[in-house]
Amino acid sequence: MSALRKLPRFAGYAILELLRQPTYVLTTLIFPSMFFWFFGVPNAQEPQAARMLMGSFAAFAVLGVVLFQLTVAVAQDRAGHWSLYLRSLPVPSWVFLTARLAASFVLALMAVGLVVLTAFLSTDPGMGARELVPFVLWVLVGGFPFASLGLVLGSLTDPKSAVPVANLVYLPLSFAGGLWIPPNALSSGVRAISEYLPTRFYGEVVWALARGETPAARWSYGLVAYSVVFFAAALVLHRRDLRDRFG
Amino acid sequence: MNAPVCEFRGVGKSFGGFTALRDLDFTIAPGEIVGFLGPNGAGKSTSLKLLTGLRRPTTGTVRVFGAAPTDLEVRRRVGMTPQELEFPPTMKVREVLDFLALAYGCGGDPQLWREKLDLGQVWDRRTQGLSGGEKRRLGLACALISGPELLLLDEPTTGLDVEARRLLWEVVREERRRGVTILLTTHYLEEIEALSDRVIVIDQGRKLFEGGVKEIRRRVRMTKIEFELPAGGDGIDLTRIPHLNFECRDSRHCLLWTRDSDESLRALVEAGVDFRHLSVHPASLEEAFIQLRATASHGGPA
Repeated sequence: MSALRKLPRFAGYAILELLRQPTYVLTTLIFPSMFFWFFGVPNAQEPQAARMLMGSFAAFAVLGVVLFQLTVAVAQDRAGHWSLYLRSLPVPSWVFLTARLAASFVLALMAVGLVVLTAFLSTDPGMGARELVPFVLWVLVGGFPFASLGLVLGSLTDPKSAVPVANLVYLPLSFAGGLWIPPNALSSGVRAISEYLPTRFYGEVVWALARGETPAARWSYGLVAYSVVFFAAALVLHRRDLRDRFG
Repeated sequence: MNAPVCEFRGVGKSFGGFTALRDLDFTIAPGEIVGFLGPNGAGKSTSLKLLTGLRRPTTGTVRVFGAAPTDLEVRRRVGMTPQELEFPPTMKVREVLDFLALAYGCGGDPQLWREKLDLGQVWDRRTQGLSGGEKRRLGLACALISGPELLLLDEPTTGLDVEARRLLWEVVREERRRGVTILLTTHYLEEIEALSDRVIVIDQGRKLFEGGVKEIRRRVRMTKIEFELPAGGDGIDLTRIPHLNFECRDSRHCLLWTRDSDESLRALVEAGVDFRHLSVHPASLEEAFIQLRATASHGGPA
């Protein structure tokens, strides 16, 4: 299908649009690595701890970039006139949305890359390229439910409220999910909630992979379930939005 | 006759409680240039949105090239200017056109429009830095990049100076010679006269008039005579003055709309009206529409 063949080039334009905002890109990229440096490095005394902390902050990087990026992009697209114009072109509208999704994951990969680089420069994760590449890929794949959550939030906000809402969702989710400090270091109240948060499921999957184990079914299937729920919500809201704007 | 390019059959469109269009019928034949006129809020934009498939009619049918406007094959044959001339702010002029050439998959040549629309100066500039006139030219390039068979132009020259307007008109005329069907909305009668064969006037979501350019010109050529009456002068019967319509605010300040200002002025003088601060202006297109609507609704002369 020709629309599918054009997708990589449309994604290229979406990435270009992001890279043209260097301040945004730099802060987005630096933030997770800086947090890793503050919170991760002091506790990464031996390789397994280093790997798990690298995994935590790589997951935080993916979460932050895709959730934030898609919330803002979708909210802006819905308010803007250019997206109306795109909709009148001979290209199915999912192509442009998928291009945005792809662009956000490319930016996420860059942020993860910087976390990994920081980890290898300042700690010893004891990981070779053979383990590292699949590990990074799984961390990215695990970000899918949060990309869907970004689509949901983008459908519910406008360009002004998108940024604070995205912050209000992803920062507490990261903390309470145990991505900044391990779950057993959380206060008891937060720990009780933590077990039900999608970020905790994400973290548990990533930590198991960092230990070289297969994640427990509870966490991996739980993450898949969250994916399905968020993606379904995104679809429902997207349909509603289309009906409102193009009905 | 050839199958129409655009076809509106009994089209109505409401948004919640608001009716934007009601029972609108018109067709546009291949190769025609039709001017779409009407005051703001008349339903021009809604009609264009229906034609590009951005909105669906509540009642009736809209066809473009005999199919639904949402059909991707139909869209491939239609070119239009971006709404509100909004472009992705960080993309460069050249990239916007490359992007559209990719979307249309038409092998359209951005370089051609770089020359024709004089975009060389801003070719590598981001769209956020463009002036109003440059955005208009880029908007037209966007509409033409795919070599469309139907061109939809939404106020292509609003806010442009005379020179820039002539450049755009020349480009549109060239498209017309190529046999392109064109629907254009505008606020300028001059633009309609310069470009179109036929005019459709809509007002309050209804078709008010459809016909040749000469006919519309005859109808909308109006003069507005404005004057004040002295205090206590409200006993004068202004209906004896030849007019299309008149209104007197606060019984002193009067507006009189006429096709023949000489005749009306003479009649004013002969009737011994003691007018003050008299001024005579050609009515704007918008004002003329409002008067046409008023006279049409109470069956007065039109």
